[in-house]
Amino acid sequence: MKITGIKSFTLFIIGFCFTLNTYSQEPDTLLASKLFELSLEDLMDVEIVSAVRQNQNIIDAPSIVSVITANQIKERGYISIDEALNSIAGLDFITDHSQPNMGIRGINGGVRSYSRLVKIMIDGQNISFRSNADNYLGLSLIPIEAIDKIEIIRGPNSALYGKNAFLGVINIITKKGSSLNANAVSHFLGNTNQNTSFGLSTIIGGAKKNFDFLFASTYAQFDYSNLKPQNIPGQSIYSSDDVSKKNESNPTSVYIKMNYETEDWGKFTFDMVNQNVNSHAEFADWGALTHNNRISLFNSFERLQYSKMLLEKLSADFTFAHSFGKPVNNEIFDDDTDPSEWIEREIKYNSYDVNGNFSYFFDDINIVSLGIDFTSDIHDHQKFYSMNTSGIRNLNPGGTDGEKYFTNFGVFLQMILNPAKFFDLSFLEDLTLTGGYRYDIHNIYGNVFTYRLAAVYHLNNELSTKLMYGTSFNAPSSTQLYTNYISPGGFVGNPDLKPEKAKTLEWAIIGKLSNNINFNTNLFYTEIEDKIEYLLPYGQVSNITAGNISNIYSGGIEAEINFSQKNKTCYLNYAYQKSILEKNDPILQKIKVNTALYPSHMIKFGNTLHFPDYYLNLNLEARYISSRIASDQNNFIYDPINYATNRYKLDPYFVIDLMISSTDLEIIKNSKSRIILKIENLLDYKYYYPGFNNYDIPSLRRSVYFQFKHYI
Amino acid sequence: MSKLKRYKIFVFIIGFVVFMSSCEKLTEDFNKKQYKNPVKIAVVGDVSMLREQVENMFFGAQLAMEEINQKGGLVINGEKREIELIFKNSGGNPELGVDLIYELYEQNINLIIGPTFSSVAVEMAEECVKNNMLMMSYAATTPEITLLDDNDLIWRTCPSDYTFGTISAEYCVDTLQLNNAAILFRNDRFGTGLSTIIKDMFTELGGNVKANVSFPNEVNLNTYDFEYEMSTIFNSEIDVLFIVAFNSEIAVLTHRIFNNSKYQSLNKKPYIFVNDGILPEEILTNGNPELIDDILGISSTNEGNPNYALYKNNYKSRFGFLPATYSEHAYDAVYCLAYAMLKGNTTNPLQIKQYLREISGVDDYDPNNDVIKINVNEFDVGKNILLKGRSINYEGASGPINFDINGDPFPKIVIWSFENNQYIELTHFEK
Repeated sequence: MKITGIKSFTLFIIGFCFTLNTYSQEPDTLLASKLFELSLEDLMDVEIVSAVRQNQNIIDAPSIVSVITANQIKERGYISIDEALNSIAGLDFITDHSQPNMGIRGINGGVRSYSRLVKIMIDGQNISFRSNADNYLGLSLIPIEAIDKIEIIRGPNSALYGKNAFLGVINIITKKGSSLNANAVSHFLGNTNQNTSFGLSTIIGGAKKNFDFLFASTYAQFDYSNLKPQNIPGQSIYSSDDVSKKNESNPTSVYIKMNYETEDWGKFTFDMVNQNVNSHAEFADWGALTHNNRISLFNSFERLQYSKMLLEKLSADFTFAHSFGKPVNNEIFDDDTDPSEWIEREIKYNSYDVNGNFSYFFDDINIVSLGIDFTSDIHDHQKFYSMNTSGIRNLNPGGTDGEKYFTNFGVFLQMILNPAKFFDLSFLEDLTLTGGYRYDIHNIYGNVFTYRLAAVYHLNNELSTKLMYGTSFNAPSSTQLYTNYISPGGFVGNPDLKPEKAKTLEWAIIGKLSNNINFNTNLFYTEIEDKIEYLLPYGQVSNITAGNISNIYSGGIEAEINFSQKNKTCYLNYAYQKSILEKNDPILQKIKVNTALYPSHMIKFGNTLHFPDYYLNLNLEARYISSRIASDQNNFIYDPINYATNRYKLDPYFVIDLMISSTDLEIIKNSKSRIILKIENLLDYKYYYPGFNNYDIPSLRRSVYFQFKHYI
Repeated sequence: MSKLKRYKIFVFIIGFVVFMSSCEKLTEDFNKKQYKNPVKIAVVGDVSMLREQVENMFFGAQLAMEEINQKGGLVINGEKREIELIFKNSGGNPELGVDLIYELYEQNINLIIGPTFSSVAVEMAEECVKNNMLMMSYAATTPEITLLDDNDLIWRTCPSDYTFGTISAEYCVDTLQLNNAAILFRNDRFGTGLSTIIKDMFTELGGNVKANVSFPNEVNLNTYDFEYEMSTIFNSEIDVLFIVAFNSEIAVLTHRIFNNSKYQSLNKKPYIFVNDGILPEEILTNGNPELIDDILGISSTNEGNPNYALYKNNYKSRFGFLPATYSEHAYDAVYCLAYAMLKGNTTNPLQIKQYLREISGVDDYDPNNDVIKINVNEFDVGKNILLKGRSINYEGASGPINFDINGDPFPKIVIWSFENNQYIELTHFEK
């Protein structure tokens, strides 16, 4: 079945909504009302913390914020963060079936980038693998059952969060043990692209007196075998026999959190995350279909937090965290199919973060905050070694050795000001201003000043408009600076890299159109200087090198609408982005071309229906992603002369996921259970993600998962 | 929404205007130049295979074109004309190269600079001769071109492999006193041609070529089983292994040699002598570090050539990076054609060919020594002299061109090596 174009998507939505109206004639019930109320809460009246590090209503937050709540995760059957984020306007994912790589607002980090354009945090703690600043958004990030909500901020936030809060911030807020209705065990069995997959998750938690405890874990195995890469147009490197084999992925994650809180002593929190990324990377850029790659990384943090109201209007919180990451022993890189020779990697980091934040509350709106933080990263920079069965272990050439100790001292100041209250200017009662400034001093890339200014204006009780401007930066990682190569001609670091810098102007309107419809729409314009990319530098013929190669200008619109009525809730969002990359081409000189890897149009739709009389819920989600320009690396092959301007595109795609789940059933006496059937890519649509080495990466075909969740 | 006051709508409008005014940069701009009354010259390269190297040669040609056009361009029959370069890919494939000739012929483009590979150049040359098109290669070094029956339409600004092969063998036998050699060459026209010259000269000088083995040219060398080739080469003790390969292949070859058990079992490790076109920095960066001290190489050199130094500076100013090997030959090819067109007041290849030796400094054409030397980026000077009917001697970025009777130049040649992981030049050869 071949479906292309926005028209198909529009027809689908119209058709589906017609069906919904039929369902909505069903008599309402108490249970349905309860579910409906929960959904309404999800829709708009959500408190968020990430925009200003203070609790705020989403309408008041001086940022473009979307929220995915635990209830939505449950209703929609998401099993990993990337699945959940893929429902958000303006976010696009490509994958090599090892890890998802998220782009945002017209820009993707490109090759060797796993979602490094945004800062991912768990309750405010950076969770990237710091050696390369990658964020592993698959199942290994955190057990999804532990999530209370995911706050997604599009736009720069370095003024608050420092480096790498570049084009966005995603803060995962975890549940409290006391918020769990019951401990739960869930497992799934599935058919992923005609291969068996399975997984097991647990969540245990509770509270006693002042002590709160949460434990969650996830393990899964997916098999992405039998996937055929797509040749670049005009090429025939891969035949129909070339398929991925034993392309397994075994992500694991464990999350533990403990709180102790009293009025006198304040609140102590200890939490920790262990992640294990473990996947055969059959579509790795250094060697596709070698049947011998395995990326296996351990990443973790442990953190102790203390917070207290020091005075009636003065709060303080302090954090000490240790993060650690390194490969696990079974990691192998291979650029060919000869098993007698392979490559191993050494890489490790130990990081220590200390920070303290103080906030003074003049009243419930006017707040001034001061924060100081210090980070020390101790890196064993990435080194690749060539190995063979004879016992030879040679350090590969390329790259340079650099400073092992990365230290950063940052200080920020933020003021949230309502002039009406603060200066008694009543005619400005609907206006709130936010200003944030931050100064970072780093021993490798120097000093960076960032800031953010925002004005939020209440047009009426249910409608506000926001005008925001901010700057941000993305620091070069240890790997980008110093790595040697996997194989001759491969990627090497560049110790002269500068941070990528961005400035963004945003204008948003958010509010309710009626009691059951709300919307959130914004226009944005971003300029990025010194974008880092891995490309072969002109004039050299040896290795691909990380470089500050281009500037990017990106503008667009993101609009989302949420609707809830009786026993159904749905969302529809649309994102249009026009993203232009400006660079110096040796022949043409300064040129501006559309950025690669990112669609211009994205339409995402979801609908959840509740059938309480039948103990059933149904969730259907659909995504239309328009065509994307293939990677620069592939376009070098497609047109080796005019690659800067003559580039091929990957076809648009349209995917529908369907989930049917039971309500909580008493299958076993005195306990509740839930049964879920999820079908991903219901139409079995064949599409491709941009690849980076003479092929494009096939999507998964129709996959079916059966999940059983048991509340103990 | 209808309850909004007017001033609140005003806020919307201001916001929208502010936003849209900042978005002027969101349009594509390929910055494509329009040429005035152009003379079109095709620049052909095998970019499918060695894009990173070949496009540097394109840049050399581009620099020459820009310098010429900036200085007023050509004057043909009293008419001002700019040069427009049409870049084309011959794909490392002789059939594609021949198809390209047909395509260019259809487009009435009959001046060709390129291609890169010898194997493509010979086939293209034959078609050019049939169609009265003039071809001037900047990198195809095969001796087959030297000896081609070409109606004087096939030229090159790079030296012939005959020169490189002969000097390589002479240096090993006469200077280093090496008597036993093996040759490993890529199985194509370039590899066969150069290896034959080395073998013949090495033997003629009294040496013994114990093995002469090819490797396939269309395989992944990372995965190719070199067992046969390595066994044959290292079956007996040799003093030197000549490798005839592309720059992109040399790093893998050094790793495969070093990891070969027969190589490891040799009592005395042989020198490895690599051909012209293999870059020292490629070996230093990507080659097996254990072999570096045993490697010798040959190339044309621009050491001591002030025109190359000037070219290098101009190239760096224009592109922001240093030129790679052979780019100077592409640069010179554009200038040679431009000066010959001016000299002959023609764009007809059959007439241009008659003036190429005149402008490139061959003594036979200057009995009275009434010529003025023209250096790099002196097109305005050279043009004025030629328009006055006088003669010039273009000394290019690659040195004196001095096309011989076969249309080949003879540059200064260097034997190089490494010492303490640094490139060093051992000796030079000049005409």
